[in-house]
Amino acid sequence: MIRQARAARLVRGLLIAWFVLPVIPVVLWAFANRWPFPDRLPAQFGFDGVRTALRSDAAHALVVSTGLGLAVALLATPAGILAARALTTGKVFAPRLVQAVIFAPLVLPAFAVALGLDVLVLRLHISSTLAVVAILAVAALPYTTSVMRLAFGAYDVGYDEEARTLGASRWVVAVRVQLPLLAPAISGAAFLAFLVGWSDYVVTLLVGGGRLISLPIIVASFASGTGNHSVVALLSIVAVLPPLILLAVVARFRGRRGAQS
Amino acid sequence: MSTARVPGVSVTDLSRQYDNASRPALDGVTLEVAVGASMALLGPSGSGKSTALRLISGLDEPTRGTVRIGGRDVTATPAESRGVGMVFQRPLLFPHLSVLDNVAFAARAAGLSRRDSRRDAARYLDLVHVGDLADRSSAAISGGQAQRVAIARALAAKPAVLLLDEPFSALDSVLRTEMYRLLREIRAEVDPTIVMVTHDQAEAVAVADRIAVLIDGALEHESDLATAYSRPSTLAVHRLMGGLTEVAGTVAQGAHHSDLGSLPIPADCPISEGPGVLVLRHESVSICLAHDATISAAVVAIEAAGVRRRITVAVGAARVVVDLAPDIDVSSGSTVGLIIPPSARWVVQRL
Repeated sequence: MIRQARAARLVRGLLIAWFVLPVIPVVLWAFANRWPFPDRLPAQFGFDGVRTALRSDAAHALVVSTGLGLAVALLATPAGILAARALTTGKVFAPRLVQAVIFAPLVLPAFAVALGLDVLVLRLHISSTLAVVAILAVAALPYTTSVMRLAFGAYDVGYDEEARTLGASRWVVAVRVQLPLLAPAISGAAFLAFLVGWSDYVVTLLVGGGRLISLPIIVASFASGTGNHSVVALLSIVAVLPPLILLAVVARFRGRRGAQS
Repeated sequence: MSTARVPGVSVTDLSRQYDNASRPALDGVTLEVAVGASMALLGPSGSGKSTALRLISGLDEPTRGTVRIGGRDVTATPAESRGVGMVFQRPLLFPHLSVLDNVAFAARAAGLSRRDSRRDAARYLDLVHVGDLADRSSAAISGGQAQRVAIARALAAKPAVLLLDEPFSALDSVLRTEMYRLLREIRAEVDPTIVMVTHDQAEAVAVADRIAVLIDGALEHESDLATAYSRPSTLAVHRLMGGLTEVAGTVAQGAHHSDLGSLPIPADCPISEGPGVLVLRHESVSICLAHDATISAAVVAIEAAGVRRRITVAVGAARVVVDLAPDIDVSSGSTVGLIIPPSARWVVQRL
């Protein structure tokens, strides 16, 4: 028992090190005004990076990325729920074909798709923001569908039947039984869809046509220049924080549900 | 607690044929359960008894036939509007709700406020003796407690008919006995019409006052408990009711003729002439000293049956199983007299 506990502690420690160690230089860079090679630590700490970030459109980009993530989650989550339900119950025409279409974004290179669709969007005079959201929602659909399919596969219809014999209409069953029982999976699917919108670069750049400035676009533009290490590091940390907070919220929610069930 | 009489249930020519199945799961079953009665649907696995319950509850649609509850044809009525309560083998308590809110579910679904529905639910939790678990998470209670809560939840919906689908088969024997007692208490208190599916004849006897036996989707027997034991309609029913003795022979002139000799049989036996199987209950036959009976038998096997012993005696090719009183002692190979009272005899068709 003691040996097992020690081994578990060791694995936990290694895992933490695996994730935390790469972050340390990034954090150091974020507050380093000067860090010449081959120094092991920054030669001068400071807030040059912060000042540069504040002068740029980073705050606006943060709002754009959040909006993009939320919009993609709002579209791809319900669509994934419906697609997964149809595929699980088998109430869909040509299920293999439908499945192939839904999961196609996983195998098609985003770059090629974005370039092709960019032309189409321009010719049809579709709003570039709308087009980016729509394309990213389609890109997120395989993830939401996959998560919800697993959830529906594991879902016990006995609960629905029991609820119906207790006088619950189909609507009441959906709201009072299915939704709460599937909530952990739905929140997981929404989180993944949010990440697709939040972290996208290629589609936002090509289809957005430079008008949609999200956080990854700003980070990439700084990264492509020279001498911007500190602002790139700072924005990278800013880009990681919201998903991490969201993940903690989702994990806590799922944990509570897990403990209840 | 309301003691209003609830309507009974009846099914006519009820049939269900599933796609790709070679024979119907349920085939032309006609059955009536009186108001306030408790009917056990007994049958082996795959006999269609759970299908029958799902058709009565409205969770499945019949291919043919009608379901009436309280005289009203509900065949086309959805499950949520039929007024049936169902308790499955698994308690299926909603994991996101507390014990109390599980029982309050029906009232909440009907639009009652949280407070009113909880107040009503608490009374039903008390009825099944788990009122102290009200605030617990439904995941934090034992299997027996969960099944009590499931029963309270079904009763709280004030169903016209309570359907029980092998609700105690996952419980150990001590808990099962407690649940039988609980069901008797519930019947005394709220008097619901009950249809209970089981494959266990002992359970059927413990909770029901009538038994219907389904074999391969067809209704083979329907009667009170005593008749089901002593006068089964078919050999399959005799076996399902735990009967152990079958003696092949022929019926002629009001008697069954076999190696046991010529034994007069009741006049209402379904076989009046020709081949027939004499079926006997091991509880209804007895042994005595060899010279005190007309039938002499050799003891060929002895086995323990609780505090009693169960012996098998042979008369020619015929084998008869007899339950012995605890104070009777016999040894294997000895010769005994076999007493088969006229009222214990019954003849059914060979399969």
